[in-house]
Amino acid sequence: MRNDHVFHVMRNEWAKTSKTKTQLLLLLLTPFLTVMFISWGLDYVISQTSTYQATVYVENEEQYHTADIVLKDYPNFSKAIGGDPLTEVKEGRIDCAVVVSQETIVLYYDSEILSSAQCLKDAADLADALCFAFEGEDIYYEVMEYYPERNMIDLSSKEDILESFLDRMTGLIGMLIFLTMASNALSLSANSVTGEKERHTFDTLVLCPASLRKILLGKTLVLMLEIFLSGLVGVLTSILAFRIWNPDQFRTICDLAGKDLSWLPLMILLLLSATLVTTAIFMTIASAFTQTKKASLFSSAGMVLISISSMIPTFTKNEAVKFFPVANWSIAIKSICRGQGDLMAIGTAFLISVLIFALGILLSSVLWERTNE
Amino acid sequence: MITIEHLKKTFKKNKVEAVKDVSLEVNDGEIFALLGPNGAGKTTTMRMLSTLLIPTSGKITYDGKDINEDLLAVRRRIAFLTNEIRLDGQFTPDELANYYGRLYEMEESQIKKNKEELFEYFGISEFSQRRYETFSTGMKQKTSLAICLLHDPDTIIFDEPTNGLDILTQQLIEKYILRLKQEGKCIILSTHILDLVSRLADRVGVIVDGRSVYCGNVSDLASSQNVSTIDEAFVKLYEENHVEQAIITKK
Repeated sequence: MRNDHVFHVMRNEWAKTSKTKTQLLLLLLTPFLTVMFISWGLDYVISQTSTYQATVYVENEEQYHTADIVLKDYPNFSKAIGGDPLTEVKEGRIDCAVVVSQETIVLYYDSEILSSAQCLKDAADLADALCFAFEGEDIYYEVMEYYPERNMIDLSSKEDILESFLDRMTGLIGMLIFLTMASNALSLSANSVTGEKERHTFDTLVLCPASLRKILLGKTLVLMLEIFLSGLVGVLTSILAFRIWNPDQFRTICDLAGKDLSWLPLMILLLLSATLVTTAIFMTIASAFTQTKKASLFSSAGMVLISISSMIPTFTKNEAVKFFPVANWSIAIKSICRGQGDLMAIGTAFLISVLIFALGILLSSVLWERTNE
Repeated sequence: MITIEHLKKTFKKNKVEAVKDVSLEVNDGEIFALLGPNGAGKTTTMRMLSTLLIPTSGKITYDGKDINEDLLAVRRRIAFLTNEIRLDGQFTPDELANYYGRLYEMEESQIKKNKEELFEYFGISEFSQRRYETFSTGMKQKTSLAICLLHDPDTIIFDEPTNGLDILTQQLIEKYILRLKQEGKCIILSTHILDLVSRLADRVGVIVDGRSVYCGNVSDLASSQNVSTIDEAFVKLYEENHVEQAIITKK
């Protein structure tokens, strides 16, 4: 170990972080508090928007009925109503179906056409939404046709509910985890590389008989470790939050994915990919500047870039997204939770992130040399 | 022995030609003082000598070997200290010495021995477990000096080593510089204090507007310019070689 410069730089960098208690605390507490709080908030919002009071006009009785509306969000329901709505719903040929019982109306709908956040704030909104979904006032007839003979039938399987749950949660929670990883990376990289130049401590380091690449590699590896830790805390916190606030979905996930530990390496691979990309971006930015102010400004742009990248699957249905690190997050998490982790896609994303990391290191050392010119 | 031939440095970023043509020779076992007015290019020359900057053109050789042949080998044998260089504030002198000693590939026993010796000399021993950031300017400078000299370099480059220090610390550093000379080390010293030059230096180089205009013995400086003191010689050299020009730098 005597001549291992990378090891010594790493040890020193880690000592710096652990000596600065606030930094260490922020590194671990930020993802924990952010994910925990937002998961709780999301759960609260969802629970507030999934049950409604609705007034439905019953034509042949010529009177209004009030009932609770339970919303079931299905992503892939298709076009027009026809035949038995239950069969249509099951076979995915209709946008929206309403199943009415004495006390409850269950509404199944395509989230691309109707979104709970978009239209279902009160009974009047619900009536509008139903009219829209059934293309006109036939809604009342359609509702009445199944009223009151049929009992409420819950069409959703555990997997369907999980699918809907994961759609809502993974994108946002994933983005939050990346956001905390990136915000930690921002302050740590600015302090570790740009800060050294600003404080005139980097010259002493460069004067040592260790190559610049080795010094930067040592710093980069520690930054990577810190970002990985931050991401790991985020992931573990989200698991804990699901366990607390969504126990049913958590049990389904355990049934589907928790049979063995095959999800664990996939999860680590996924997190490593994100870590490598985040490290590469922030090290490159930090190496390009001699003032932490400027570096932080540009790093903020990097932070936004990473957070938006993790949301890409919500903008596009393109299958290729699953092969790209960070952008593949929500797709990969969903597949892991369903017990169908795609090693091929996650592995490819990891290899791409290794490539990005190598390029980042190379670019960082070139940029650092330039700032010293 | 260090030889500098037609050294030139142009900063790409702001297109400033900081060093235009500097040629000097520094022998082992001597103290060489580098003189020049502010902005003459002394610090840039010293940063190139210490491998922190790459010259645009020209040649620097250490014992006949080009500096670029083995940069890391040169770094093993030099030390560079300026009052701008700082150490990580959250570490103690003890931790800093261990860290830099390891980076200089020293044996643990050697680190311990050199550390104890240097800390004792500079009066750091009793503060060796205190954080560097809590030190006064003088203590910081002494600690930086001890850390820089830890690997027992044979060439030491000082850029205004006593600047901003009290008289006691100045004397301590001056004494140590003389001790290093007695050990046969090669010492290059940049300073504005001409009195310090006459007290310590054997030879002197004068840089004006990025060009070396004199290189010779300190004792010959005054007579070479037909004046009685080195102060007068320095002013004369400056007046003869300085060209007034507007310096436009891009920020």
